[in-house]
Amino acid sequence: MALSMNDQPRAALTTTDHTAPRATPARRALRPMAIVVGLIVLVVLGMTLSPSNALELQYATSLALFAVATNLMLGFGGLVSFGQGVFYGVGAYTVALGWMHHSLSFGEAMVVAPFLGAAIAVVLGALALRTRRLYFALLTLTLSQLAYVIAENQANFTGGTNGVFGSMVPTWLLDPRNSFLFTLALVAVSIAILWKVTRSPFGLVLRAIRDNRSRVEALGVNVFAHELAAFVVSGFFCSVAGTLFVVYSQSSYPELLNWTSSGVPIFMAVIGGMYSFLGPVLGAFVYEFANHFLIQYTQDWQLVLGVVLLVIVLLRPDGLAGAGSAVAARVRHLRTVRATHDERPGVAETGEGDAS
Amino acid sequence: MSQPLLVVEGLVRDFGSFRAVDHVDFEVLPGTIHAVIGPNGAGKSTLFKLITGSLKPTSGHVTLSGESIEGKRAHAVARRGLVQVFQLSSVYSRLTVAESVAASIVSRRRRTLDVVTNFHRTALREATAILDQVGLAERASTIAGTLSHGEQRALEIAMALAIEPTVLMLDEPTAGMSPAETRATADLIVSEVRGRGITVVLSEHDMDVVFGISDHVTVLHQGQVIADGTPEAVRSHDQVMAIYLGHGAAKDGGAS
Repeated sequence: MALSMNDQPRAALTTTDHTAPRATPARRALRPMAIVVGLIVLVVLGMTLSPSNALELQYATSLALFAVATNLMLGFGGLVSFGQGVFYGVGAYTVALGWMHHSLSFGEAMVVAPFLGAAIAVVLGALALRTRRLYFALLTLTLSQLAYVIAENQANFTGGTNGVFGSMVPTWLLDPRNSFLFTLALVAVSIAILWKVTRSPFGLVLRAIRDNRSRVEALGVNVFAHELAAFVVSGFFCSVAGTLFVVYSQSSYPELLNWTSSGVPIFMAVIGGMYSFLGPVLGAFVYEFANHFLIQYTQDWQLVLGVVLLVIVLLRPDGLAGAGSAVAARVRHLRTVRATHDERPGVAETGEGDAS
Repeated sequence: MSQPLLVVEGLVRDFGSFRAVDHVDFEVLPGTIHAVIGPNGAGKSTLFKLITGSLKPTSGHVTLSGESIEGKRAHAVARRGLVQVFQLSSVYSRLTVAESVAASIVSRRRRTLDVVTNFHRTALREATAILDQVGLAERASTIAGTLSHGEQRALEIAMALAIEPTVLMLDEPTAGMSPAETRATADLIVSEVRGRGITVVLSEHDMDVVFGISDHVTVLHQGQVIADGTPEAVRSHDQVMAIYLGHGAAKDGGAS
């Protein structure tokens, strides 16, 4: 006979417990395996789907990078930036304008764009990170609107409201499969680098800053410098994602710089789970899937999105990834309770805390 | 006599027309426990903030090991070896206990901008030894935000110890604690903090703690120092008795 759930302290399900056994090697190997399987599934899908669906998958893949890069600020740094669209747009415009003005080849633009995004992040971050919380969100939003207006008004240089359209990618990238594999490879490498950034001494300090910035300051860390570093790294990879928008659409236009564009990766991170590294990837695919399919059935898909977001924020602020690990912890817990059959307190999740 | 480690001279801080700290002078000798006491509103917390750099003084000087630190920012003051533990609990709500201490070790070793190595893992291992000393070894993988109040205060002391400070400023370390937790914290301050040769400056409302562990007591009242000396001298000081201890039982010093 199994003990009922009520025999266990509920807190054991949500907090860590030193008495619990460490994660078994099998469980630890699960995540890398899941990632490999996920990549294989993506490659197979990309090769077999119809060209238009494969293109949507390619777009979702590039947005996954945008979401993970934005989440470096949001979930790891605790900073809500409504200005990441600036870096996304800078990435796209670098490729597009380089082509339009015959100044940069596609390859050159792909290399220059992230560094340009990072350089702009130094300037914008130095301004915006002087403020906190709501003021930071509003200031980044303002800076993003400024970039939007500049892109729209400097029509001679940027093509104005219509933006830039044309065959700006090399011919081999016009093949949908090549284009998909190129995007997937660049996204995978970028996300791997971002993973290492979060799993480093810097990543640990960044999460400490998120939880209590004045405490970290009092322990000898220049918080401003570290937030700026996170902003610059985020800007760098948001620009990489922006270059992939051009690979997807062969265009760049001012909307990319708009604050609504900055909102997209925030939605994705919140849906997927901002305290989990790969949560935003999940969020990006769910969001784009919903965007692509719901729109066929309802004009008001954004209303649906709004309701979903509301439910997540109210019930599960740690998103789908958080809900998933809570379910997994409960299953393990029940299994242990059944296995032991004795009076000892149940075991719970072990490990290194959140953002894992 | 050894040279004073921390010297506060003529420190003044105005908030509008209100003078919260009024020409405060005192010296802290190395290796001592120096208590700053006074009723609520006496200016203790403001004084601490002025010393640690989270507030800028209107005028006056603060010198640490012969180097002027007034007006420097909090992280720069901490870098020079003066670390504060705040009055209100302020642990990292979503980090584990071991990670919280590891963050301090990463800071001390100046690896905070390191994105390449796995030094944070080394720091996590080093954290275990410090957690052992404050009695939190068994809680290493607990999320810090779920600890009890007393455990959170012990964790904060561990986070500060991991910086290996020369001076540790403790603002009301026993506030809100049960008598048992208060005794444990006082023991911790004597054995693990002063025991390592770290100089302690603490503000404290519990007179048993103050007179039990302090080597030197400075009494503040309305922003001014009204008495300064050994616990015995301060206890027999007439003005202190009248203004401060006279307000209530000596047990809670009228500062509750």
